[in-house]
Amino acid sequence: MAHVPVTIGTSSGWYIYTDSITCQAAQTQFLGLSPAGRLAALTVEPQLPAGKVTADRLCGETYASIDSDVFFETVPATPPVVTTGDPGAEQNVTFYQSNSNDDGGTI
Amino acid sequence: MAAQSKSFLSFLLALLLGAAPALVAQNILGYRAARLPDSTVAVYRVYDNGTQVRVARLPSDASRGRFAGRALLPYALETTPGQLNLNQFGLNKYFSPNYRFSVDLPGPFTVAQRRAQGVTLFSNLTQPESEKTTFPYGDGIRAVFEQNVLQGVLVGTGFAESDLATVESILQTTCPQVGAGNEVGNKYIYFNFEIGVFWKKESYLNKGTWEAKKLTSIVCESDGVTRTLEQLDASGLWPAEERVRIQNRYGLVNAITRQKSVAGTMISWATGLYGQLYPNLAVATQTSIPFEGTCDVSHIGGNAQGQITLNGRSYTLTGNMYEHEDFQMAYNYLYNFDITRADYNDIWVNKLPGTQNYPYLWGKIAPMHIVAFEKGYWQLLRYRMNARFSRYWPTMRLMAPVYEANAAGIVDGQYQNPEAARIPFAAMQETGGADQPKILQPPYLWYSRYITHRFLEGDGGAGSGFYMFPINPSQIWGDLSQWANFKTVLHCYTALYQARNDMQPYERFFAGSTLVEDPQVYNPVTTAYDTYNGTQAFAYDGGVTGTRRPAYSIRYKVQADGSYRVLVLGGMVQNWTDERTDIISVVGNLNNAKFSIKLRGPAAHVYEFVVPAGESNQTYTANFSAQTQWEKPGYGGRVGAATN
Repeated sequence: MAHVPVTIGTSSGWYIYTDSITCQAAQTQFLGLSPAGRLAALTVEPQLPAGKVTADRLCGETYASIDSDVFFETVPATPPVVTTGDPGAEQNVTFYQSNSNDDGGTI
Repeated sequence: MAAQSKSFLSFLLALLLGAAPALVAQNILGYRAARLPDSTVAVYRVYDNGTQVRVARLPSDASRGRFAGRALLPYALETTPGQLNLNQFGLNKYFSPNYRFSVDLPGPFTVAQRRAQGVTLFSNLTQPESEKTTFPYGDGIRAVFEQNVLQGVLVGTGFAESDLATVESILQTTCPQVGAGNEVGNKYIYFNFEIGVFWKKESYLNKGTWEAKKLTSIVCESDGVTRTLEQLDASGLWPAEERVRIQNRYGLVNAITRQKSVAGTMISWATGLYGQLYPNLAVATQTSIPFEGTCDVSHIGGNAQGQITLNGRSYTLTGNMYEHEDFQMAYNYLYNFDITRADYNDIWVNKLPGTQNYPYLWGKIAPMHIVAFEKGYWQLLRYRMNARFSRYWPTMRLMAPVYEANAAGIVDGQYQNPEAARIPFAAMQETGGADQPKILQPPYLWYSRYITHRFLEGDGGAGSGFYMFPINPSQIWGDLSQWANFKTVLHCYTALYQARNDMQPYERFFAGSTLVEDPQVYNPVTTAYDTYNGTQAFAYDGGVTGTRRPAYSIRYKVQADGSYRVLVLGGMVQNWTDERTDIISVVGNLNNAKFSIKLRGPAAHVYEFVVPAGESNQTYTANFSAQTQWEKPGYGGRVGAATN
């Protein structure tokens, strides 16, 4: 049985799938687990969220000797929120020079 | 009267908040335009002090400029001992999860506040007890010290001396289970062993235990022969036996930790492949590593494939420990500083008025070639990764904030213990016989160390990052001014956050960018371009320092319009107000652009350029004028109050 923590946007959630570590992808069933309850509030999910480690990857690893729960860290399912106040989000940067400086003033 | 005062205050406030950047700027350098995620275009007026303000539009006569942008936030220095004003650089900014940032000094701040300040990795030392069981997986790193794991008969020489089954039985209990329970947040773990993993006859001689131990018999794991320690010593096989035993034991630490922990756990041995040295030309191309050898259990009940059963549990122990390392803790402390006899006398001997404070001391410590040091060290680690293991893996730069040597100061080039040993300031003296505090490193070193590693590592992925270890793990929470170590201004800490924020505009740039470690640099003496690495720029050769050269690297990425967005990292050891300008370029790349780079003082500089598509063979300049009101000896970046 494997616990799979994921991060979607800014909220964390935990996912658990019910088969053994040597499962085949087709046998996998995903259950959502609320971050607050951890062991409560299980709900059936149709699939792992986007960006999750795939079941193939899961089964491709060798964990035969592990008898405890297995966790996976995942990449964010969606790109982090980009705001206009984030200078790192700027694209097509260009530099200009000017003699007039009639730039309309600061905003 | 009250209304008039309010109006006047409002005017002052508006002046400070709105017009201050324009007032403090010396000259308008030009404009910087960029498309925002909502497709609008932001236009910034760029000043030659490295600041910019957003304006309504591009001027009517705007034409493409070939100058650099620079992102420098003002760092208003704290004046209260123990205070960390980390919020001044802004909060809740985006930082890539592929380069983690950890500082083992929470002080008065909660985890949420520290996240807002830009911390993205929390060691188990800085995870509050009440949050350990709910800490988000991947945000935690577990520090493991020798006493945590090598317990009972494994203490000291017992780790190597004990047979492998005994080692296994204890490690089964002491190795952490990372990713679950109180360790649920910890994806990263590092093992900092410093005693038992160095197993030599001298280990016994130094402890005075040789006579009592020399007749102890062990089954040698390198050949299966039973020998006393004395016989092993006489055989000349001790070094070979040490290599196998230490590798077998590290192999067990690795196997048991992975078995007990959740999948995806990332392990570091906390010993960089280059050791703790200056970048040194004398050993730069050597490929020896701190822990040589490979696992071998074939003589003690295992087979040639490394399979062995110990206490009923099966293991496969193969290869060298670094083959199994997931991230490299780039653990290389800085030991010493240089200071003149006159300054030493003023500060340590005569304790002249005005000298008994850190900002004064930091300004008197001789500048070092920090960018070359950090670049050289990073390259030397990776050189060994590739040479020995044919792969690269992420590095996490680690250091404590102090000079490590017990007597750190080298006075007029002469090391005389205990000169400049510990801090002389009366306010910082320990009582009750404790060691006096070590010397905190100048802020510009931390500023530059972060910038250089962040730049070189790029979007390094899981395991990549920067980690400031504490002076004392028991002195990290609450009011820091309660401890002698912190009864001073803590600018070297805040400077680290200053650097993190000065680099923040590039957090999204790094992914997909290309690093040019060693661009060519014009040599005005030979009139040729030289290409050289960080170690060559540092020019330290087996104890002799040669002619230093500026250290540069370039990162670039093609933008949507086909232009190159180019970042240049540069640094040169020189006095605080000294300047130099170099021409650098990348052979056959970036449209044959040349970049003219001014470096002022010894700290790291980062400049941003744009090379338009279709524009070839042009020179782009970073020629900012000196901003004397924004600089201070011992500091990097833009230092001063916003009212400067």
